[in-house]
Amino acid sequence: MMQADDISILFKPDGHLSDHAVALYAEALHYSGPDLLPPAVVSHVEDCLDCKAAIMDVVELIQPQDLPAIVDHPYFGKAQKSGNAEPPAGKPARSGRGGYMFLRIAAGLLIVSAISMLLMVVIKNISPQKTPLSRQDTAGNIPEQQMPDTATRILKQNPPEAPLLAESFTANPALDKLISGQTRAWNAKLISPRSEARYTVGKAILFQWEYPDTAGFRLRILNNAGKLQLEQETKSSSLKISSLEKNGLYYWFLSADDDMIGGGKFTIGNPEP
Amino acid sequence: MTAQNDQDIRLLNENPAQFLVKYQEVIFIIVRAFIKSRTLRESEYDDVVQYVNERLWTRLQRIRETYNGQSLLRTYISVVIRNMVIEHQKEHQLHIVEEPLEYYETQSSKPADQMVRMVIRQELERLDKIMKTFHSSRNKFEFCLKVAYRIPVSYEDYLQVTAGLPPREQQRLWSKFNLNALIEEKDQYRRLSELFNTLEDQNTRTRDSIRKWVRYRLDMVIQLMNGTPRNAHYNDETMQILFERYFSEYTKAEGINSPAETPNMV
Repeated sequence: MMQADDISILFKPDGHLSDHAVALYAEALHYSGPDLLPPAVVSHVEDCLDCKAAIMDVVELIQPQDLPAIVDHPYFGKAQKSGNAEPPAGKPARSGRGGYMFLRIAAGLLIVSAISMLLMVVIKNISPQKTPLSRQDTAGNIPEQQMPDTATRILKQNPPEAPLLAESFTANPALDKLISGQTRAWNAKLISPRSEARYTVGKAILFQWEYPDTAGFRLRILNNAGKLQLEQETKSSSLKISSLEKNGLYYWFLSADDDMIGGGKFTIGNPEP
Repeated sequence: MTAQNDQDIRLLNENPAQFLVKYQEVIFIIVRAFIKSRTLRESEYDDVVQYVNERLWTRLQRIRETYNGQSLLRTYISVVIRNMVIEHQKEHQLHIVEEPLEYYETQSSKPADQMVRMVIRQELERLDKIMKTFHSSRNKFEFCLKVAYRIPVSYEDYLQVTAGLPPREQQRLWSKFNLNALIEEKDQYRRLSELFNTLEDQNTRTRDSIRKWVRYRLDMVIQLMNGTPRNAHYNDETMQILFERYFSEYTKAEGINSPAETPNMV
C-alpha cells in the first residue's frame, strides 16, 4: 500500500485528479463537503470541468452502496478526530460566512507565524556548506530530511498553499513528487534529458531511455502548472522533439502500457550571454 | 477505520479470487448505472460485466500496490470499474443509446407525481453537490446567479459575500447597490462589478468580466447536470427553475433581515 499522506498520488501526470483523489472527493461530497480535503485537490476541482464530471459520476455510483458513518472513514474520521470539526449537519460549509472568516484568518496567521519561527530556527541551525539551498531548491523550501521532526509534522499537517504557478520557473510540488522515483519502474533507465537539464530555447531536445519488454511508449511533457504541452507515442526508445516555444520549467513523464515508468524535469531558457 | 474496509483490504491481499467474488455486487451496480443513464444497452450487460471482470482480475495486483488507504477501497474500486466501462465503450465505439426511457417507466410502479417529486429531489441533491465543488467561489457564484436570475437576494446572502467588511460599511453598500431593484440585466452586472471592485479594493472588474465569469461557471453546471454522455436537457431556462427551488430549499436565510432603517436607493 502506498503512503497515505503522499500528495503526488492525488494527481495524474497530466495534472488532473488521480482515481484516488476522485474517490476521496466523491466521498467528501457524500458526507458533507470538500472542506477537509487537501487544498491542492479542492482548488484544482474548482475550475476543472473534467474532474468535476468524473467526481459527479462516482457520486452517483456510490449512492446505492452503503458507506460507513463519517467517524469510521479512514480519512475523514481521522481528520475529524484531529480537530477539523465537520460543519453542522444540514448546513453547507460556506467559505465566506462572517463568523468563520475571523477564525480562519486568525488560525492562518498563527500557522504562518509558527512555521516562520520554526523555519528561522532551522535555517540558523543548518550549516551553509552542507546545504546549497539556493541551487537545489529555487522555491526556497528546506528539504524535509533537514527539518526537525516538529517542523516536518507541522508542515505536513498544514501544507502551505500551492505556489502561484504563473511563474514559469516555479517548481510544482505535486509533479516533483511524481518524478521523485517512487513510481519509477526499477528496470527503467532514463538517459536523456539528464536530471534538471537546461536547454536553450529554439533547440531540439532528445529524449532517450531503456526499458525492456514493451511494445510502445507514451511521452508527455507538462509545464510547471501541470498543463499538457506535448503528448507523443513511439515504439522506439528515443524521441527528438523540436523545442518548446516558451521559457520555463517543464516536466516529462514516460509511460508504457498505461503505467508510468519514469520522468524528470528540465528548463528552457534564453542562450547565456 | 471501518471494519468493513479493513476486511476488504485483507481479502484483496490474501484472497484476490474471493475479493473479486465479493465485489461482483459493485460491478453489477455500476454497469446497471450505465444502463440506467442510457450509455449502455440492456443487451450489453453480460458482455460488459465479463469485460470488467477480466480487466479487474489482471489489475488486482496493481490495485493492491497503489491503493493508498485514504478513500474507502469500495469507492476506489468503483472509480476503477467506471473507467473500465468507459474504456469498453471507447474500444467498441459505442455511443449513447437512443431509446426511450423504458427502464424508468417499466421499473417504477409509483404514481407519476410521486415520481416527479422524487426526480426533482434527486436533481436538487445533484445540483447541491455540484455547487459544493466550486468551494471558495461558491458564495460569490450563488450571489451572482441570484442577481442574474432575478431571484431576491437576502441580506444573509449579502453578508456572506461581504464578510470581513465592518458592519457599518456593509449596510452602506447594501443600500448603495440595491441589487434587488428591477433594472435591466446589463445594469445588474454593472452593479455587481462595482460591488466587487469596492469589496476587493480594485478597479479591474467590468460588467462584461463579471458576466463572463458567471457564464463560464453556469455552463459548467449545465454540462454537469446534463451528464456525459448527455442524458438530460438542461438549458438556461430550466436551470433557472431548478435554481429557484434550490435557493429556496438548500440555502435558506437564517433569520437575518436587512436593516429596516436603511432606505433602499435605486
